[in-house]
Amino acid sequence: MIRTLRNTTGTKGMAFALRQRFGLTGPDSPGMDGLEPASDLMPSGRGGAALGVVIAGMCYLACLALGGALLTSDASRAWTEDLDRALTIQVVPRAGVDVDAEAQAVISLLEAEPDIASVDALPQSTSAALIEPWLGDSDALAGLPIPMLIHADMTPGAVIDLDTLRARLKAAAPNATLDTHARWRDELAGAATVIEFVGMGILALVAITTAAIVVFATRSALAANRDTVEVLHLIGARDTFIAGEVQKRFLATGLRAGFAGWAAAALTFLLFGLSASDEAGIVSLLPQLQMPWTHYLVLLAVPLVATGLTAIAARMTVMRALAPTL
Amino acid sequence: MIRFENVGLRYGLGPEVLRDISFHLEPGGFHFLTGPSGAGKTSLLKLMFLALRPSRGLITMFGNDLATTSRQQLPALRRRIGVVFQEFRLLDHLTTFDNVALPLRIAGHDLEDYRDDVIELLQWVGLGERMHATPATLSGGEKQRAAIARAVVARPDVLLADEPTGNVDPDMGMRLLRLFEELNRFGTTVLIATHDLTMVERSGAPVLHLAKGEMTQ
Repeated sequence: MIRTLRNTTGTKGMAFALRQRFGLTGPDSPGMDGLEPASDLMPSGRGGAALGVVIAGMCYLACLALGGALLTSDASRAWTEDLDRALTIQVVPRAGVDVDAEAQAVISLLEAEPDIASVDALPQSTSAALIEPWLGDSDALAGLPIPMLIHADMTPGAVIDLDTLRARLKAAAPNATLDTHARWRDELAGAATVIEFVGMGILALVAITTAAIVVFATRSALAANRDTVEVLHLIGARDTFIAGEVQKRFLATGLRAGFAGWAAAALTFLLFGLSASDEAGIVSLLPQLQMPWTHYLVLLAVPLVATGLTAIAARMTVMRALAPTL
Repeated sequence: MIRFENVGLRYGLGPEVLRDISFHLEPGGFHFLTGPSGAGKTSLLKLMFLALRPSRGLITMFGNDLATTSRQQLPALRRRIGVVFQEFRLLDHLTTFDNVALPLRIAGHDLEDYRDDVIELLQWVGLGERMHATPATLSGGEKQRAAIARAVVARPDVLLADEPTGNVDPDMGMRLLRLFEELNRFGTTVLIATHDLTMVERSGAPVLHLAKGEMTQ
């Protein structure tokens, strides 16, 4: 009889039974009356703000590191593309050598080459201007034998056998030497790769630091809310439920702080871009600081990964802390 | 339902606070647990609501030998036990409604399913007007009633109450006793640890008596 009553009344049985037996005072259907159940079972505000500041700061640094690496990668690609395509032929003036004739021979040979897009001979005045910073006024250079420089650009994507070209140039102009800029390109690309690796290293360091901070913050939150955790535990909450409640708090904090860090970094790059655009063209060797909008989207991965990392670190910490309990 | 056989309990390397405790609570039983302060009533209740493991002896809950019950199985057993803690242990950041609804929420029920039930129960224990209040603004008696409502809301198989009427006036004490009796009538096994001998006498239910860590029935 008892079991039948229990089964038919289900979870609503308690109030039903009380009403049947004693009659309840007050309205039959009390309604919500502005009742808003708490969305979080874990108390908020204990150390949450400090953690938010730390995560925002970490995300800001991570976005700067990743953005710097992306910009360097872009610049490196632009440098190597330019240098890959560029050829410089130098005709060295020696006694008894007709520099102009040899230069003309080089130009004719290159112009006949299908994979060469453009050929320009630099005027002597330009060549003189190039060495002016080292040797002083160009009037003093008038008597010096200055090499004739010829600049050629390959068509994009073209592959030229440089050894064959070098041999042909030697045959047409014995005093001409070919410079492919390979050494410069390799050095620049090497430097850019180092910067990219440093950027990624900073990113990894920031990620590890953030995870460690979240582990500490979770432990302190658990210690501060030990009573709440214990009550939930004793009235039948599973570890996954408690971890879920803690994780929910950290997820919200991580998401808000992460996006704040991203927004600050985006603003920083915007300001860098604006200030750099005033001097565009003057400092062409430095990475282009105006970031394309697609990079801002790539940087969005930072707060998302940071939030995921925060939630996972918090969850794992709670699960590990609860494991030794009964 | 609950069987203790030669159970002993010590905290760390200290002396045994409970010695050779043996008893059996039948399904649907109603018992009082009495004894002077420091006799071990709260420790015994802690063993019963699975907050502690015994140092020795055998405890069987709902047919499960606790020595061989895995940790993953314990939450399901705890959900069949309602507990009124001596110090109430309400969650300070939650309203009375949320505190009372906690066991149902943990069990995965939706708000729509339990809302009216919780409100009616709050009205029954005289907290209908205080359901939005947080424990910090409740009196001792109100906290105690909220704690009792939380313990009974999911209609547990076993109700364990540690001094549940210590902070309420005699009328409310009797009203709460009727609540426990009503719950018992529907099949819940009830064990109430109390100093209130008037309530014990009025109820007429069997008494388990603890003295210096040993049980005398």
